[in-house]
Amino acid sequence: MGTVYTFTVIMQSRHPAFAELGPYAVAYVDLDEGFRVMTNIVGVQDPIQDVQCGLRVKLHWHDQGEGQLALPMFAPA
Amino acid sequence: VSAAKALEDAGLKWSEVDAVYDTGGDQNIGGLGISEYFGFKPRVIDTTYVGGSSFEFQANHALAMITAGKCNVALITYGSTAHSDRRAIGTAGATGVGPATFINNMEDPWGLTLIGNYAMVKSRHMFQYGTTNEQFAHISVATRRHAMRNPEAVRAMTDLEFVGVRDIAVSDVLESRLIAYPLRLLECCMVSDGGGAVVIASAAVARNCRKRPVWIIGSGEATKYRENGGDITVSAGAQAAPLAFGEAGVTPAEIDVLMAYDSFSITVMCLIEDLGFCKKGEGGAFVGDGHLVFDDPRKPAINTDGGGLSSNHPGQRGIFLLLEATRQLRGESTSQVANAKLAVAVGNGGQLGSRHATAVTILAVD
Repeated sequence: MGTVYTFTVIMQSRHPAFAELGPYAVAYVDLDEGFRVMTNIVGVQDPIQDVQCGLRVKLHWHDQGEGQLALPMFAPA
Repeated sequence: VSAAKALEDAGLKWSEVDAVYDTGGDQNIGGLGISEYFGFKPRVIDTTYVGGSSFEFQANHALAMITAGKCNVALITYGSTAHSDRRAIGTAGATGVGPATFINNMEDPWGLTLIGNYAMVKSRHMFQYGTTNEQFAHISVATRRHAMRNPEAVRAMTDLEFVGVRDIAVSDVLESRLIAYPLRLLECCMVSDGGGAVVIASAAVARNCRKRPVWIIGSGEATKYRENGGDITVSAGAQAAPLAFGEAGVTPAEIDVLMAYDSFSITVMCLIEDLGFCKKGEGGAFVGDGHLVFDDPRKPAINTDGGGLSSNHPGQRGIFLLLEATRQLRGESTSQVANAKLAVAVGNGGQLGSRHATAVTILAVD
């Protein structure tokens, strides 16, 4: 579990891995254990409306497929 | 060309240069290459690179070396063809090349762009202090007003095919498209080409220069990075400013012109607060009443050349802060502040929301 410290919604990225995603949220999340991590906030309809500073979030492992690292992302708790 | 103009402005000969300062950032030339390019045999060679703030760091270092007697005439140079190279600086995202470091392997997978990095600071500023988009927009509006008075800025905006090379209103900023929420297009600097050069000399040399010199009377530098529990809205300027103002023996209230690195509206907001022009968190009210323009009696005027928002930003803008601060103190600006006696150039390099460096250079009239 953690809390969104701050976030942005990327409307335009030219990096090939992100260019076609549509708007996505990048955030710093303060984990309850005390660490601040950069991550994505997923599981929201509209990231601009649905993500706020102070939002409580829970860990959501993002599976990238066989042989790839799973990425720790967060979704509203 | 910039180096030649700077030396001509000072009335100094090429052979008198005995110290070179170049970031090597954009053109990969640096203190090593620039000596060969110009045929110098310098006694001091410096390639300090801390992003766009490099030139305030270099100016401060040049002063220290001159004071120590290591050199007499330092030449700071910069040139970039960022626009012609079609570099996507703000929206490119991670490069994904090179070895993994403690930086990129914890940040690259999330797709944060450079603009997004600054946008995260703006998000938190709005949440923590209640700062509004309207207040942020005043920074863009004041800067554009100065740009429209500067023929070189007008030419740059025209060449870069700005939509509407004209004065803008708060509503124009609020209606421009989102690039990375909550930052909109007119809160982001342009990507241009550009170059500049500055000569810093010992007092004995400066006294005999063609033009009246301006003096560096205080300097300070610091870094800031992400920390568990840290406050992302506080820049390295908060640490660098007391050093500079302490050395100069002046207060922010006395400053006539503030050349604050305007990569984005949020950068200016943080620097105004962290340098002590108002209390932390009160920057919104400070900029929101339109008191940043050159002909407002309340000090300071900001970015009177048109800034990175509306005149040029070739990737590392810090040298232009020193140039316009000097113009103001010589009475040569296109948006001249009446009777300007004290100016601050504050560079902010790296990325505001993660790791960055800030240097403050305080300049005074003769």
